[in-house]
Amino acid sequence: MVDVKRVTGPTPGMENAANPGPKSEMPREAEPFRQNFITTKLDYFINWGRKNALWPMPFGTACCAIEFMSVVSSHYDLSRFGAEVVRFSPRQSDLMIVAGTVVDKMGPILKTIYDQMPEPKWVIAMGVCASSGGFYRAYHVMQGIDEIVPVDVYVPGCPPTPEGLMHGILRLQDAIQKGETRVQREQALRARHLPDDLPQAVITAADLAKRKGAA
Amino acid sequence: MTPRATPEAPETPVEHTDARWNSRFWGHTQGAEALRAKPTVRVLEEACPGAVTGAEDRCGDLSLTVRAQDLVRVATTLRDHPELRYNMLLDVCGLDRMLLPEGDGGERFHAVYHFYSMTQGKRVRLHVPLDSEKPEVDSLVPLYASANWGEREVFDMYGFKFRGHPDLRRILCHEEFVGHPLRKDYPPDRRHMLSRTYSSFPGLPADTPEGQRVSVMEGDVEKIYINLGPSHPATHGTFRIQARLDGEIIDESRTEIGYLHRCFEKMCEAHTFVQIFPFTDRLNYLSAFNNNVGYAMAVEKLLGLEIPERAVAIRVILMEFGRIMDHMVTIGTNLVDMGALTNFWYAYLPREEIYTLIEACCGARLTVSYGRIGGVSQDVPENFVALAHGVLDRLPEFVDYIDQLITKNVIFQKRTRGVGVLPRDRALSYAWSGPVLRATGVQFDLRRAHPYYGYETYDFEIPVRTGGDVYDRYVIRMQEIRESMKIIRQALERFPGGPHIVDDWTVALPPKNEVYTNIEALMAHFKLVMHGAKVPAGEVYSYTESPVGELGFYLVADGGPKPYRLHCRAPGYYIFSAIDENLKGAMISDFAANLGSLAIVAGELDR
Amino acid sequence: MSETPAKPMVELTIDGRKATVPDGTNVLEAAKTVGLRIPNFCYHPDLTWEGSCRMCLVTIEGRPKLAPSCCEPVKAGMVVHVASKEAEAARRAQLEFILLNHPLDCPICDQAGECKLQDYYVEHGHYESRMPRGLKVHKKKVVDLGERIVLDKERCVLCSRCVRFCREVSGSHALQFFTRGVTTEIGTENDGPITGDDYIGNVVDICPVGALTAKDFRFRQRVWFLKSAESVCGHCSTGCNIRVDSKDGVVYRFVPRRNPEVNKSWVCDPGRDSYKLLQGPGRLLGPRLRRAGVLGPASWEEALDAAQAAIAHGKGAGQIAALASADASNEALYVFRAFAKDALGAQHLDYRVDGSHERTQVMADKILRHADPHANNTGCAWLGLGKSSMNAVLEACEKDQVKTLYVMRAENLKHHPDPDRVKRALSRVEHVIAHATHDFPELSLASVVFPDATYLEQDGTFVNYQGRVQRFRRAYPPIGEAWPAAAVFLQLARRLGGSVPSGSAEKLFDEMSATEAVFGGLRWKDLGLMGAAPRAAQTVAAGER
Repeated sequence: MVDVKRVTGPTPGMENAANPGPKSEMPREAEPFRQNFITTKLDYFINWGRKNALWPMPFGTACCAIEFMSVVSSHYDLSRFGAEVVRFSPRQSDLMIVAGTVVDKMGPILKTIYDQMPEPKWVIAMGVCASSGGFYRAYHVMQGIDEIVPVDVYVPGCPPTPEGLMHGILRLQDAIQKGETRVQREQALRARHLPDDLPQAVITAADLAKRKGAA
Repeated sequence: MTPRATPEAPETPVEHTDARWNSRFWGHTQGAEALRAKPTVRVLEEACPGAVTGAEDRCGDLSLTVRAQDLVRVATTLRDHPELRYNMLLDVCGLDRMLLPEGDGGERFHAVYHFYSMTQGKRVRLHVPLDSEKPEVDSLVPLYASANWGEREVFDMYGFKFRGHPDLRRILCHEEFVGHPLRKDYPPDRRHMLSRTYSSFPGLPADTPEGQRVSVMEGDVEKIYINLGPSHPATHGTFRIQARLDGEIIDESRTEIGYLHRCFEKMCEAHTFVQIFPFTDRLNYLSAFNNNVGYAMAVEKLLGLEIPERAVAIRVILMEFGRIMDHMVTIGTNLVDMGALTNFWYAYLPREEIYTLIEACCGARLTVSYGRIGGVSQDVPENFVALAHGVLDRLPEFVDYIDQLITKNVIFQKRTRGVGVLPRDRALSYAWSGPVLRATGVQFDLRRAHPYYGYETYDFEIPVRTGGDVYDRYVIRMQEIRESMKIIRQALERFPGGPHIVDDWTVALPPKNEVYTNIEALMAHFKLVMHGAKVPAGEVYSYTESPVGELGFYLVADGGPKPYRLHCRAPGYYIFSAIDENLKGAMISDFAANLGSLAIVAGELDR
Repeated sequence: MSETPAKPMVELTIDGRKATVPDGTNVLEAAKTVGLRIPNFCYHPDLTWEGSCRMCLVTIEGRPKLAPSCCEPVKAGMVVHVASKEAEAARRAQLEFILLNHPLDCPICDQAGECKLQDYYVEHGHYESRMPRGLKVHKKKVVDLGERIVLDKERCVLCSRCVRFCREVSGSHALQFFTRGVTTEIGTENDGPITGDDYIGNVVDICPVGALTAKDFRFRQRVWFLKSAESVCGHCSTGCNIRVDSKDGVVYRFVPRRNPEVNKSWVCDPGRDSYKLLQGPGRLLGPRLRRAGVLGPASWEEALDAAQAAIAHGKGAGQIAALASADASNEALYVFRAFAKDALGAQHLDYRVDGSHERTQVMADKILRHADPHANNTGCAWLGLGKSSMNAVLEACEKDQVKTLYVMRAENLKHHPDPDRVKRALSRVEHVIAHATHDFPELSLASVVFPDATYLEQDGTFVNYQGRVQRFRRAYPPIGEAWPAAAVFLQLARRLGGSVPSGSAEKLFDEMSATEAVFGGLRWKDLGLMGAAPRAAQTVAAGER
C-alpha cells in the first residue's frame, strides 16, 4: 500500500484524495474513493517506486567493501532507505555499487557484469579508487571506473564513511525521482526520437589507447 | 627537542660521505670471524664450498650472498642439514639494484630468499645475484611448495626465469601486460589495457562466455567446469577459481589472483617513508593498524629507533583490537557462506564499537594511517582507557552469542570437521603461518617465538589444535579473540604516560603548537613533509604476527627519502598458494567453508 | 679560458681523510674534495671570500679558536676537524643566532624546499627554540626592485653574496648594506628599482635563503614538484650551463649550473628568459600541409606523404637545396648531412642562413653574452655543412634552379639580412619543406611544415664558441605532435630509399665522433655534466674545414 502522506509531500503538481488542493468540492458519490485513490503523473509514480526499491549489487573489491558491509549491517542499516535487498547477481539488481579499487585485470569483468544488469540501472562509484583511481596512480590500476562504465554518483572518501555512502544513495534517489540520472536522460532522448548524440557511454579500451596516445 | 648527541670520533675512518649520518646506528657490523663462526655459515662452507660469496649481519639477520649455480645445493643443505633445518621458505622476492649508488658492485638483479628454521628460531636471507641480460636461476619448487607462487611473483615483477618451475606465468599483472613493473626502468604509471578475460584452463572451448559452465566428456565421464569469481559472493575478495568437477568432487582447480593488484610495492618506491602508511593500511584492510605497525617496525629497525613506552602500549592495544576485528569478520563471513547469517550481525556490532574507539584515536574508522615512524600520529584521547574498557566489557557478550550458537552446533560441526585439511608438513612447506598453521598442530606465534613490544611480559595462551580443518581454524580464532582481550586488559592496566612519538624531528613531525610559533619547528616540519625522513642505507626484514600470520616487510633503503625497495611478505599470499592442493578431491559444497576459513584479504593477497 | 699555471699541491688532513689540493684553495673547498660539505651561507666559489656568516667554522689543530673554513687557505700538514664537538656547537649556535629574527614564512616562501636554512637546521641544528615570537625584529617585506627582483628584508641572513655579485661580476653596485646592528639590511638606494643590469637575475640563485626572489618565478610553483634536467642555454653561442626546471611539460625557470670553464655560476637575463620563447604562444603543435594553395593542419602521415612526393619531384629534376640550422644539435645535423646527401641528393647545402656564423666569437657584453644568437654554429662548421653559401642557394632559387627546398629550421630565414629577397626567392621554389617550432606569417610560403621539437625536448650536444662539446638533456617530451627533426629525417629517408644513421643521441654522437676527426674521438660518456673539448683543441673558423 502506498504511503499516501509520503507521496503527497510538498511536491507541486501532486494531487490526491486526502489532500485535494484547491478543487476541494467533490461530488458526494465520490466520497468513498477519498481514502483509496491518488492521482499523479505516471513517470513520477514510477520514479518514486524505483527510487525506494533499489536493489544494490555490491561490486566489492577492496577496503570500501568492508565499509559497505558496515552500511548494510545493523548499526547503519541501509534498509531505512529502501536499498537493503543486496543481490549478488547482476541480473536481479538495478544499482551497482562499485566499492573498491578496480584494476586493469578486473576491467573486462566489471564491464561484463554491468552489461548483465537489466535496465534501468544505476552505478555508484564508492570511494576515490572507483572514482578516479585514488592515490594509486599506478601501472595496474584503472583511473576511475568511468573509463569503462557510466557513473551516476561519485562518493568521495578512502573509504567513504557509511554516512557518506548513504548520502550518495540519497542523492541518487533524488536524481532518480527527478529523472536526472544518466540512464533516464538517454532514455528520454531516445523516446523523443532524437539522434543519439550523447557522448559515448562506454569507452572501449581502443578508444582509451587512442586518447592516451594523443595526450 | 633534545639535540642529538654528537658522535664520538670513530676510530677508523668512516666510509659514508655524509658526516651527519655516521652517527646513525643501523645494525651491528660484525667482523668476518664472528660471521664465519655462525653455524649456518660454517655448515654451508663445509657442505657447499665456494657457494657463499659474502655474508653480512644486517640488524641481527644473517644475509648471505650465494652463487646462482649453487642455489639448489645451498637450499637443500639449509633444509636438510640436521644442524640447520630451515624448514620454511618464507618468501621469495626480487631486487633491481640498477639505481643503487655505484661502488656497491655486483650484478643488477638479485633474487632474494628468506628462510626460517622453526627448530632453531633463526632466519637467513639469501641474495642470489643474477645475470643482468639473462636473469635465470633454478627453481626451488621441488624443495619448498611456497616457492611456487613466490617465484611466479618475481617472474611477473622482474622477469627472472626460474628453471624447472612447473607453471611460470604472470600471477598479479594481467595476461596482456608488457614488461616487468618492479624493474627500476619501468615508469610507475605506464598501464596496459586488458581487452578480455582469459580462462585458466586453456583446454576450454575458446568461444565459451566467461563464467558460464561447460561440460566436457572425458571418455565416458562428464567433467563439468565451473567458474567462481572474481566477483562472487563467496569469495569475499577478488580472486578467481576455476574448477573441474567430477560429479560433486573437485577434480582439479586453478586459481587466478591479481584482481586487486594495486602496485603497492611500486607505489612505495615512489613515495616517502611517511607517505607509505596509507598504502599499508590498504594491505589487510580488516586490521589496517597492524600493517601500519608492521611497516613502522621495519623502518624503526633500520633507524635503530627506540619508541616511547606509551607508543608501544597504544600499538599493542590497537593491534590486539585489530586482531579481534579481523577474526570477527573472518568468522562472520565464513559463517554467512555456510548459511548462518545471524552471526554476521553479532560479529559486526562489536566491530562498530572498536571502530568508534579507533575513530576517537585518529579520526578514521577503517584505513587508519595512525602509525608513524617512531610512534603514532597523535596521542589517544584522555578517556582512552575508559573507552577501551567499555568496549572490552561489551565484547564478550557477542563472542558468547556466537560461541553458544555455533561452536557446539551439530550442523556446523558436520559441515566443518575434517573439511579443508592440509597436513602439517605441507602447511610448513607452503610457509603457512598464523591461526591456520596453529590449527595444524604447530605452536608457532611470533609474539611468543620472537617477542616484540614486550609481549613476553603478557600472560596469554597460544591456542593450538591438531585437526587442521575448518572447525579448528574457527575455534582457534574464537580463542584468540579471548586471548587478545586478556592482553588488552593487561596493557590497559599498565598504560603508561609520556610522549606518543619520539622527540626526534628528523623522523617525527614537531608538535603543531611549535610549528606555528617558531621557525625551527616550522622548518623541520617542512623538510620532513616535503623531502621526507632520511633513513640510512641498509636492508632489513621485520616481522609481526598479524591476524592472518607472519606479516613481513623487507626494506632496502639507499639513504634517500624514499624506500629503494619495500617488499611485503603477505601471510595470505602464501596461505592462499596452497588452495589448489587444498581443494583437490574436496566436495564443491565444502569450497565456500574452506575458502572463508583461510581469511584471505585481497588487498594483502594481491598488494 | 686561459690555462692557469699549475700551482704546487698541498696535503692536509680533514676529519681523518687526506686531501691533496692546489695551494691557495680554502679549507672549505678542500673538504669538498674528500666528500665533506661544510655548511655555509656567505661563501660562493665564484665570488671573493667574505667570512661573514660564520657557519663554516672548523677546528684547526694548533689554533686557539675556531676558524672560518671559507677564509682559511690550506697549509701543508694542516689537521682540520669538521665534526668536532666545538665546531658542531658553534654551528648550532650560529644557526640559532641567524634564525632569531627569521620570520615564519616557509609556507609562503618560494625558497622553501631549496633553502639552506631548512637544510642546515635539519642537518646541524636540532636545538630548541628560545625566541618568543613577539620579540622578533621586523623589516620591510615586499620591496619591489624593478622588473625582475622582489626583496624581503626580513628573510635576509646578510651573507652579502648579492652585494659582492653586483660589485664583482655585474658591476652595477645595485645592492648594498644599509644601517647597522640588528636593523642591518640589504637594499638599493631608496629601495628604488634596479636598472641596466642584465645579470641581476643571478642574485636570486645565489641568495641562500628566500630574501631575493624572482618575479618571474614567485608563487608559480613549489620547487619540490619541479623536475630538473641538466641542459645548455641555446640563446647564444656561449653555451651557458643551465638546469631546466619543469613540471608536466611546462618550464618554470632556467637556473645556471656552475661550469668554471664556460659561465662560472652565471647566466644572463635574456638567456634566463629564453624558456618563454621556446614554449610561448605560437608553438606549432601539428604538421601543416598546403592544400589548394592554403596551408592547413594535416596528420603526420599526410605530411610525410606530401614531403616524400615533393622531394621525389625535386630529386627527379636534380634541383634540391637543403638548409641546415645552427639551432640543431650535432646529432641532428649529422643525420641531416647524411639525409641531404643520400636521401635528398641536394645540390646545395648550407647552414649560414642569417650570417650569424661570423659573430660566433664576438662578445655582446663584457661578461658572458655573444653576438651569435644560435647555439651551434660551431657544430655546423665542424660538420662541414657550409658546402655552398646562402647567397648561392638564393641565387639558384631566383634562377628557378631549385624545385624543392628543405629547411631544417624555418625561423632562421626571418633573420636573414634581406628578408624580402628571401621571400621573393622562396616564392619561386615549387616546394618548400620546413621544420619549425613556432608559427609565423612567412611560414605560409611552405608546402609542408613539420612541427619541430625544441632542444629542451630532446637529448643532444651543442658546440659552443670555445669548441666545447656540451650535452643537453631532455627536460620533458615534445609538446603536441612535435617530433625531433632527426626522427623525421629517418622516416623520410626510409621512404625515399636512402640510409641515414639512426639511434639514440648517445649512439649517434659516438658514431659521429668516431668518423669526424674534428671531434677528436670524444665519447658521449666523456661529456659528463660539464661538457668537454676535443683533445686536439682546434677552433674551426666558420665555414672552413
